[in-house]
Amino acid sequence: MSELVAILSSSLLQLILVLGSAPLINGIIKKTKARFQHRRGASIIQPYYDLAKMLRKEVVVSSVSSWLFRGTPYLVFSATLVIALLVPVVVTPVPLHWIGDIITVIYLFALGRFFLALVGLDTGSAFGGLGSSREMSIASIIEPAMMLAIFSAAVTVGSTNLSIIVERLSTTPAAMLNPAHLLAFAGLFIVTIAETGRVPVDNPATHLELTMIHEAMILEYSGRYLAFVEWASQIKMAVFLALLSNMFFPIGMATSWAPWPVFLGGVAFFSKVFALAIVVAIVESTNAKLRLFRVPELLMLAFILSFLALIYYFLIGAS
Amino acid sequence: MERLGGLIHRMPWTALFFLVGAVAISGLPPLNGFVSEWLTFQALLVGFPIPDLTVKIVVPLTVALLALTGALAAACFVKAFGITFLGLPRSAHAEGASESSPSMITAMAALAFLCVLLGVAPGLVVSVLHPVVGSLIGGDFSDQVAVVGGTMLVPRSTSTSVSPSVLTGLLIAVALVPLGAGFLFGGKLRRRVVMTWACGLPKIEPRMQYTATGFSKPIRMIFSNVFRATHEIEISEVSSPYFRPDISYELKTEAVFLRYFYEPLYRFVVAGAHLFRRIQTGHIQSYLAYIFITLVILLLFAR
Repeated sequence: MSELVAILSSSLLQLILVLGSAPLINGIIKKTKARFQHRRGASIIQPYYDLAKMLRKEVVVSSVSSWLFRGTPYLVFSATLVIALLVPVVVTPVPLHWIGDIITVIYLFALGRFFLALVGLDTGSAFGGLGSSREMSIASIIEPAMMLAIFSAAVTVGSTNLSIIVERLSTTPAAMLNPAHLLAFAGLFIVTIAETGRVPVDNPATHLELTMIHEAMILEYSGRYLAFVEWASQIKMAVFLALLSNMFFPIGMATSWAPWPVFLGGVAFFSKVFALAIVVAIVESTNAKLRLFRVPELLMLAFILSFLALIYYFLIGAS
Repeated sequence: MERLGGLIHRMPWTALFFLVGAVAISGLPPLNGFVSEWLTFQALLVGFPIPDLTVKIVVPLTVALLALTGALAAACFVKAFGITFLGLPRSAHAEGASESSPSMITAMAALAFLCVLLGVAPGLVVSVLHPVVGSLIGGDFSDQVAVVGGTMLVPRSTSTSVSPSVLTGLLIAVALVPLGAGFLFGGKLRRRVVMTWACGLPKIEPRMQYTATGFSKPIRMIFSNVFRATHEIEISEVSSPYFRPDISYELKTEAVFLRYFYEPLYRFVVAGAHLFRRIQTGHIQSYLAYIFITLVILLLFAR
């Protein structure tokens, strides 16, 4: 009984942590981008105000749309929350790690994307179709690169369970500097940029039909529905940064849910993730958006980096 | 497909069961396709430590190809479901469509139910499949994937697990969070139903929507080496380039496997058959002669 309470309370704590910090990460990226453009930019807690406002506003629904349009925000948000429960954030192992591994995480993201792409076609507008078409095409070239990057991290451990990957890696810190490991990290970083719709691939700050992918797909959403879809994509960003920092550099992760280790783990986690968020913002500010049909070349680079990581691991071996 | 659209309003049950099938075939959780894909990935992970260079190169490529296949299947079924069932009807036939007969719906419902059942409780069949794999490959495979607690799949060698039924339960349970957060911050949901905005034009029309061909255009462009699409546009001009009475567009994609694999194979078989037809005279005497010659040759060699 007390075990069940421990599992529930620690899962709840992790959920609140990811759910609560995701808008802040978004705020930090926006602020950094603004500084690069010589603007003062909005406060880093502005995304919280935006979400609160959108949650209060009424939703406008197209008369063409079906029940999919109304259900999808909840489905996407739930799938993202389940992912937030499976990924080790501050403490490893996560209490619910036996429910699903990294492959489950990737396919839960794919589930959310599948339904968002359907919703793009649901309202009968041309923008939605444009967004869905591009999103699914880009996704089909992201997926191989992502799976290979994930596998090169998994193969050194022989398991796809995230908590086990993180745990093995923190017991052998030398493996973090293995070239294969660093190559896979670079591959997954490019995948993160593409998957979260950031600048060389997609532009989250535009509503111009030539450049938008994700934004076009969710264009018809408003009010509370939009809040959930946006919040889910902020959590997606947080989860990807958590994967990058914990799957590759699990430094300072707590191994128990006692208050003091959790605090220290939290400090380590947030310093890593905020640093990565700033790097993402720098990449966004210093690169021009690629033409849609140049994106495959960028993702091919990620694919080759991950493939090299695997080949290196086979030929020279993990230290 | 280019003439359909909006069938989800007219054929709600067909749409629902088609959707279940589409999610399942795209390998998405929590349906059966995901379980299969997950087990395949685990099998590939087990294949990594095999000390053979060919295997070491082929396995990562297989991983990437499996991921690509899953993603392309998802893209394909977003198109199939989205263009057929969502949006505005693209023809009068689609507008006047009515739901299928109960017998057809029952059949689809049964298949959709199996997709859900095998996805949520794969433990039911995994243990049944062990002897099948054993009889195909030889050897005992009953300990390769254990079913723990009725729901959790645990492969022996990769120290990981997945529990689709708990995952499904969790997906439903955490839906309380957005519902609760929405109510907490904004109270009851207020919803206004209006027509989709048509960018300033009076009314949104079915022809403004993406077509199925348009939807898959980026994929055709990215994999243009495979598809080798050729298109022809014919525009007839009368007086002004802005008012064109007639535009025709034709797109052809090449069936690569048909052309470079099946057709050469077919030609080879047919040419071989032609060659053999020369000795097929239809006279019983010549067949007896063939048998006699074969016997002599066999006797000479098998002495």
